[in-house]
Amino acid sequence: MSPEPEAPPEPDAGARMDGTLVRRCQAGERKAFDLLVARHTRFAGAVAFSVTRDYHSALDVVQESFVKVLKRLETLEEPERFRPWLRNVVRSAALDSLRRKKVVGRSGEALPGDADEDAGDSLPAPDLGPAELSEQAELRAQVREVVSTLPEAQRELITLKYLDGASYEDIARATGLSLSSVESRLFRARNALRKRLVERFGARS
Amino acid sequence: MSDRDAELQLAEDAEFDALLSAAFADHPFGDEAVERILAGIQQEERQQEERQGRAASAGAAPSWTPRWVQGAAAAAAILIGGLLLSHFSSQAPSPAPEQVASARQVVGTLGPGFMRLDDADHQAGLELREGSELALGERLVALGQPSELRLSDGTRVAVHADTELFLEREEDGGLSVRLSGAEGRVFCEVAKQRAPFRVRGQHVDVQVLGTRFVVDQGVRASRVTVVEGRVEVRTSVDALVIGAGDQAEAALATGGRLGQIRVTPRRAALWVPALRSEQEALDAAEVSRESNRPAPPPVPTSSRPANEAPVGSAGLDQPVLPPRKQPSPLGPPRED
Repeated sequence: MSPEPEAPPEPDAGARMDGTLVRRCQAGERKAFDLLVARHTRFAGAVAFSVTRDYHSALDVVQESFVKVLKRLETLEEPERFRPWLRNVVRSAALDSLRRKKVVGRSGEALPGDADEDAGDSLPAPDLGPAELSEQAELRAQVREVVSTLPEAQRELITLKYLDGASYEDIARATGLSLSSVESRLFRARNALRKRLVERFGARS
Repeated sequence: MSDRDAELQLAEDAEFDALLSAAFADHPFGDEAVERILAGIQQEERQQEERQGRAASAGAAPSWTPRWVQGAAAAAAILIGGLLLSHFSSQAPSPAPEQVASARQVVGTLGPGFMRLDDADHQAGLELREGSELALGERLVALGQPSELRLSDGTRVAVHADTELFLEREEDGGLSVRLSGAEGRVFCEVAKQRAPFRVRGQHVDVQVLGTRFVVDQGVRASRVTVVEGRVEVRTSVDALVIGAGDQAEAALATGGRLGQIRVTPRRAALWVPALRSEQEALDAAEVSRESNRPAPPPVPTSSRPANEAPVGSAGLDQPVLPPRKQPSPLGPPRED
């Protein structure tokens, strides 16, 4: 991403908590690292998925990334900036993963994670039949497919917003963009996405 | 843009947001992923340590030291575990049971089920069958289905499929079950004894004051559910005595602080057929009472003498389940 004239927002309570945990971890407290993993797995997953466009690969990348984080954490000089640092580690690992698999450029393929019974921590609505559930899963997969056709920068913002559930401020802090930049880029990404969804599904989408 | 147009636009945006959120609702980066990641890291670290010749620490105390374990006891436990682990981590083929029997401190036998006695590198070792002797310090893994440990003091420990554990002797003579895997569950029916019985996990230590309870260890949290009697649950920062029908939880997110809720044991230990069938019998009796019909005859269960009162404090909750009357037929494949 290109540098922005405006600075990202100041560290918030979450970043301060990260800083505390990183310092505890650097002091040798292993439980602090477990807490960092618990706090940031979804964020890391969103970053990884925006690159790999594949749940399974993203999960592998997240695992690999946290192993690297554990090994390199003592080198992190600004503990409050753990999240942006983690983003770089995950993006780097995801790009390495893509290079290894030589699948750069492939998009819109079926997502292997869709059929994984382990995937997801949300349960299906209890009163839907198999047909409806299948239809919903198919719809979700198709929407993700359309997301995967966006440029990578836009994909990352979309996955951070909708997969990780991050606020604009959180996204700005993690990506180093200014808040206004995040807003305008997400606006463009949403418009592009809306257009592509209409193209695929018609106006009913 | 009129107010009406603006409202429509807002509604459309909200719908679009909902569609996109739903598209990622089945993402795989939830609690299970966290547990998997942490388990993977733990395993890698453990293998690395063992590769570096530090096998002695594999069965040692958790990173936080339980309060009741004094230095000498911990050192003794580590020493015992270390001696046995270093024995199993040697490059030589796994010795036959009779070869190691003399060095083993046998504390019970395996009941129904299969377990594997692994070496320090988690390489599959001996397969144990019903009747095989169980000794202190050995890494035991329930093979794909629940198994039961029958300890020589009469205590029975139902072990959930794929749970990994050690048996350890404390300084005070008490026996401990250490859950050494990232995840695991045990259901304990503890016989009355002079020395305390304990289960030690990565988040919680449980000291038995009564009889029947479940310890469910996960990567991010561990839960202790008491079916009958009382237990004392400890973490590095907290301690709690809970009674029948109570569940204590220690989660990473709360820094080891213990939370307590009321639960039904059926939810806590569906994998233990004895509990399930007892609870179903209770449910059936309840339904019968509500229907003004005579309650069905009690389930024929009774290993406890009829005149023996259930263990536990009279001041705490009544047992959620009535005292059992027959040994638990443990053993069918896991169902959860």
